[in-house]
Amino acid sequence: MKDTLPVSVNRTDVPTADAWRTWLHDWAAARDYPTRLRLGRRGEALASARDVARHLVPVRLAVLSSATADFFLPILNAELLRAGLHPSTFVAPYGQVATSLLDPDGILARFAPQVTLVLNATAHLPGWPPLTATLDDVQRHVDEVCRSLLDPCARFHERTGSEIVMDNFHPFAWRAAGNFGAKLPGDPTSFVRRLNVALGDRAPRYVHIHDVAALVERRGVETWFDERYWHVAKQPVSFDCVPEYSRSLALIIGAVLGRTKKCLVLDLDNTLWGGVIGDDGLGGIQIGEGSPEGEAFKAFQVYIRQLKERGVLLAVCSKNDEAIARSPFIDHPEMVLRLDDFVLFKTTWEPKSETIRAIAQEMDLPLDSFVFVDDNPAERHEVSRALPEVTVPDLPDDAAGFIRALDRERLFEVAALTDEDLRRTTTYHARRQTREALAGTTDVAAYLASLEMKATVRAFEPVSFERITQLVNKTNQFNLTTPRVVLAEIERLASDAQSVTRTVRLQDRFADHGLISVMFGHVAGSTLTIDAWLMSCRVLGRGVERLLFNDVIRAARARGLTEIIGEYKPTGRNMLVTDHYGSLGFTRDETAGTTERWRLRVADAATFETCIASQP
Amino acid sequence: MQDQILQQVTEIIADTLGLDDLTLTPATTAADVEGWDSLANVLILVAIEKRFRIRFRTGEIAAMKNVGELIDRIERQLSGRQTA
Repeated sequence: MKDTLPVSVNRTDVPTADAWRTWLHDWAAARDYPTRLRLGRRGEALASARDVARHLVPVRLAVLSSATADFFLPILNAELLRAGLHPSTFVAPYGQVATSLLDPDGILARFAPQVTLVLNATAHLPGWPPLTATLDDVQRHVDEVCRSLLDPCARFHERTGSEIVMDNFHPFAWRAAGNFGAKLPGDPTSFVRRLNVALGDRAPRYVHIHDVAALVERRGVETWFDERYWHVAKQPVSFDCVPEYSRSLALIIGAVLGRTKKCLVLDLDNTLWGGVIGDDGLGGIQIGEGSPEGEAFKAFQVYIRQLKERGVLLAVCSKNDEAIARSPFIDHPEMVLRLDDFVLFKTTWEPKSETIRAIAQEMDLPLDSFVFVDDNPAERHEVSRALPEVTVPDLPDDAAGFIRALDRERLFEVAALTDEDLRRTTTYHARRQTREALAGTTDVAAYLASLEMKATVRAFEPVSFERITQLVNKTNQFNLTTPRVVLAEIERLASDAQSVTRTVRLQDRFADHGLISVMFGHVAGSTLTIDAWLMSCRVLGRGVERLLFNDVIRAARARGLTEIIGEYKPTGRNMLVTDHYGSLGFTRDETAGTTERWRLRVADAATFETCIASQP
Repeated sequence: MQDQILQQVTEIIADTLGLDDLTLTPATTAADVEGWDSLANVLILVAIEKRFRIRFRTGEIAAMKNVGELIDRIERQLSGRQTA
């Protein structure tokens, strides 16, 4: 299978942002493989146009497959474009998985991928135990297979720092042992189950398991695997399921690179409960035990609460009277969600797109990190027309289908859960309280002092690597150069003697904000160049950047450095920090391309006053 | 019937191979058409299965002598469905 896929690109097209939007729409509408293959080629041609490409984040991707990858790669590529990523892809020769990973100076290692896909065809799984094997034998097989899969990943990760996404395995559509297989550890289905559990348990932090088994459970293995195309072309996933498989891979790649939605905006009437609270009253709405529909709405609330518990922020956007809209959350005993589950509660009669825009502003989050859920198709239409960046999933007209409709989109994929994720709603609440406190204060310094802030400035430490990676990748506004990194690069910076790295943790009397700012740079001669400086917008205007600046100057003096260079790359989202270096006393030097360069002699550096106490 | 199928098959193959202009006859073989290699062949058959809602047998996917044979096999499946 050395041939390449035919590619056709219509060169006479004028690619524009409009054509791109049309493409995104067509892609979502057409789900069958042949149509997607055709659209995929068009997407690729459009993505290389400048006005589209500048919105896409480049990613170096390696694909190692134990079977044929050619058929699904164009679809994966298009799904990545759709997710805002522009891949340059290295594809290892057919079946060369372990050998590619283990070759210390092979093409793959030199390609230095940020993300490496290890795609496992179950039909090529090595090391099946005999059907009648004992439990101990099977356990040995599981150990052996796990090692053979994970050891090469470990070598490769040590050398290149690449994050790895690995398929797990699915059962076959047949079972020679029948039901008795459930009691036979060596039965192929039993073995695959054990293997998947062991892989999940043993995969190190940098190996992200792509849960093929879970996809197959939803679709059914009879649909997932087509023996004919396996025998003819070693195609491991049926063509009907290639779109789903590709999308799922694109989502996990996006999650590894820190691209995920952050906030879920919810309508109330007929979305969180049945009926209209303003008309039907507290006793008239359907929620909870007592009616089948009420149970369906309650189940939906339980699902949303789970999203919140793993770090998704919730907000309400409803056309309602505020006091009436709030009443079920306070007085209805069957409600699962309560007022403090939401970071914002907006009830107005304005168009919902306006309200969502206001929510985004108030939360300091970009619109493309929002998902809007509403039962009313007209409202969904209004929002997606006015705010194309916001994701608006379709809901069926039956509440029993809401969970699946939302979950199917898999908008909130994450590669890891950090402490900050689990605390996020509390932190936003505290931030609102501080804003309200600010409203009652006229003297900013007095207000800042009243916050009783304490900060800890540290170099990068292993315990923070995950959060640093996440913050670097998610921050768009207070971000001078908007780099995108994988964890291994953070790890490397931490141990590099020529690098200067800093994190800032902040707490005040309302909340522990956790790790909210990151800076790193490199020393060459007697100059420190700051390669990245970013901060969570949650703590804007607190003086954290000045505190960090003071610390950097101290470090520069301790190392005997004489000059500091800072860079600013405008992205369209980081206007907030246009004058960041200017305000710290730097002088603008020259413009190289779109990057501004600012210089400061260490001898001239001021020490800024802040209202933040430093603690070790 | 055969002509109709030939027209649709030509459309699918041109589309799959990214060719603007393609003329096929029952005697045309894969070797006669630029880009119709073993990978493209799978894509063509997948698209045909989808369009006509038929299923080729494993042996048929691997080896079809020429376009005429392809059309025969499509027609046989379609008429089999009508009589069944």
